[in-house]
Amino acid sequence: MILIITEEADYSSSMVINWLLYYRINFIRINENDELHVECLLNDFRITNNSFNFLLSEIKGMWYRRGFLNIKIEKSENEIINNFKKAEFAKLKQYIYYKLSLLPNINSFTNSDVNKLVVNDIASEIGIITPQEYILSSKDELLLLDDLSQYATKSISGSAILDFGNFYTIGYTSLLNITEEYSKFFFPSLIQKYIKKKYELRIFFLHDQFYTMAIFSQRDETTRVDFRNYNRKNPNRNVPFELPIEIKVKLINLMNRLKLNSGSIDMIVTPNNEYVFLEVNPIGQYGMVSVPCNYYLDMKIANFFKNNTYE
Amino acid sequence: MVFFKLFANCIAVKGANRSLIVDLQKNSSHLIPNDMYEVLTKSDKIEISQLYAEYGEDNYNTIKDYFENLEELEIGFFCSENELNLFPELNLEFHYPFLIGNSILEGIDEIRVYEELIPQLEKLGCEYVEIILYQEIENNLLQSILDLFQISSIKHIGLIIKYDVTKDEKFLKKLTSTCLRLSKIILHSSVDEKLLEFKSFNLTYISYVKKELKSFNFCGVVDQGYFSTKMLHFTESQNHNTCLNRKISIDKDGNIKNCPSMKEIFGNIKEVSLEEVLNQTNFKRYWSISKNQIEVCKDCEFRHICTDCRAYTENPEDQYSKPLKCGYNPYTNVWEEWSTNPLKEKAIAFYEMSDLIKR
Ligand code: SF4
Repeated sequence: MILIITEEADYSSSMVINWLLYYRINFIRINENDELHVECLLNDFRITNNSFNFLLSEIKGMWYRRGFLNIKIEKSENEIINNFKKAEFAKLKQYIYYKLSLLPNINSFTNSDVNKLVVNDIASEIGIITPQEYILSSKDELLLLDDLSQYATKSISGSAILDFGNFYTIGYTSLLNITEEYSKFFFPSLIQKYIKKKYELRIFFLHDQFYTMAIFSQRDETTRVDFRNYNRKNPNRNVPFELPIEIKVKLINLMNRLKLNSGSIDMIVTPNNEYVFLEVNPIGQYGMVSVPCNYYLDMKIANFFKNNTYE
Repeated sequence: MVFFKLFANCIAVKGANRSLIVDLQKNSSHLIPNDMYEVLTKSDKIEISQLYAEYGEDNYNTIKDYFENLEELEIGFFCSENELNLFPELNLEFHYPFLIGNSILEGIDEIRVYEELIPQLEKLGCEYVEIILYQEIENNLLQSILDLFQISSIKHIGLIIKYDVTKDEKFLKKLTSTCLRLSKIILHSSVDEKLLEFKSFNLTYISYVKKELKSFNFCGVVDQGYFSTKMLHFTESQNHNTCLNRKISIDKDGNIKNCPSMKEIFGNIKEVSLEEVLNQTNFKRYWSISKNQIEVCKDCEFRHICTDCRAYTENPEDQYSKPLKCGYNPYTNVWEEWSTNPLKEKAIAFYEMSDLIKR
């Protein structure tokens, strides 16, 4: 039986499940909002919920897609005791994640929270070109940079979708435009030099295989800095791309260092044919790479479990 | 060194007389002459100036204009030698995680039969069910039938039913709000022809048509309006029949067939399960008849975006014969009315379709 840890709204999980059903592979899908109970047995754990009930030992493979195991703790009256219980439970949960990570798997919870800053340091150590970037929090430091209009700011944590209840905001990258109103000190911000691009690459990495898509976006001014700023009338051209072998070797190296066996990697190819690494997201969406390139990534994920787990 | 390449998801399909570039990403298509097709098969291997030299001065401007137009339309791009290997061709694989994709339930108005069929179709993964009724159906019964799908894994339902005065917009509003799976409703034998605003009916496409449907012989028409430039269709068409692949149909007597228009019966639901029928190799015989094997179609530039019909063909004896209801001639590139074509008279008589013919 395969365990899928994911979120309720995740479409890719449902697509992979279609394939698992087709292959007649048993699976359990746990969404982040499913409340779980853990029963500790002599040599095993029983995990239960209103709609399923299984032993940890029955699980033969795991896909950590996104989200987490939402295990309920019985609360005590006393806050100090509660905190102690929480700490105990956190270790227990860590142990369950560890047990799962020993199985044939696609990613694991433990390695999924990557830090952009750390990743970029490791990448440049390996010899991968990374953008010129700084973390700054004052105008004075900012003004030390040459040609400020060539810099953009991005969030450090990756996601920048803010839900305010009656509206929400999506962060996208745009070039800096320093005006007088800039305050002297500001929140620590990632400042990155704009990279000229011939095309962007979206790479889905799965067990040392690369499924790459090139995005031709330069022709269209509206998408020049960040392609999330979609032009829906005339979408960018997205085509399959074959990474040069030396780039593959470096990326495999990077993924090994990060202990990730799968993830979405973003790169830029410059007009001088340099490959610049932007980021890796272990839980990123891959559907937008799979469809235009006809890669059948949902099937390939299911195939991994078909070929690597034995009941 | 400069080369010219089509983007991988823009694929040129060569026909007898001209070619079609199918843009699978932006879902459009562009006709080009066969000479240009030939140029494009070389332009990613032979350097452009050499290519111009090969075709001579007379053709220089034409070829150059085509390249520039294709670049402008973002269908192809100029690239350097080292980029050639970076842009592989699109793989045209087709995979589908369900044993059955769609099924047609013909003339069935007994709840009991639906109760029996729905779990069987679910087991096969069926995503789309089309219900067609030639006779009138009472609104409550129709509602109860659709209610049965409510907790099923069948994602989309199409309805072709007979119009009567109770099938007004109020009823359709109710139907489409209780059954979100409804993707289309066609009401035949209506008083007039109209199309309802699909946004007001939970995105269900609803049309009233005057024509009375008495049998399935209205189906199988090949028309540019039905062409599909979708990736799934294009890739499926490479090695499969885009109409019959992963289709199953059941008629009011319980007979199991490839489609309502096909004569052959593979069993009856009273005796066998749908799954057992699928396992008969004969049942899938038509699934792999692709356009590349069909007479005339195999020379047609539209073959991978076109629909097909194996039930009504120009030569009813030949399973590889061209669809009867296609009026296109890929050798002359002319579309004509199929039903008045004297060469088709025999087949039309064979299928007893004279009532369909426009005069
Ligand atoms: S000849 Fe007619 S039916 Fe055949 S592929 Fe062309 S348009 Fe379609």
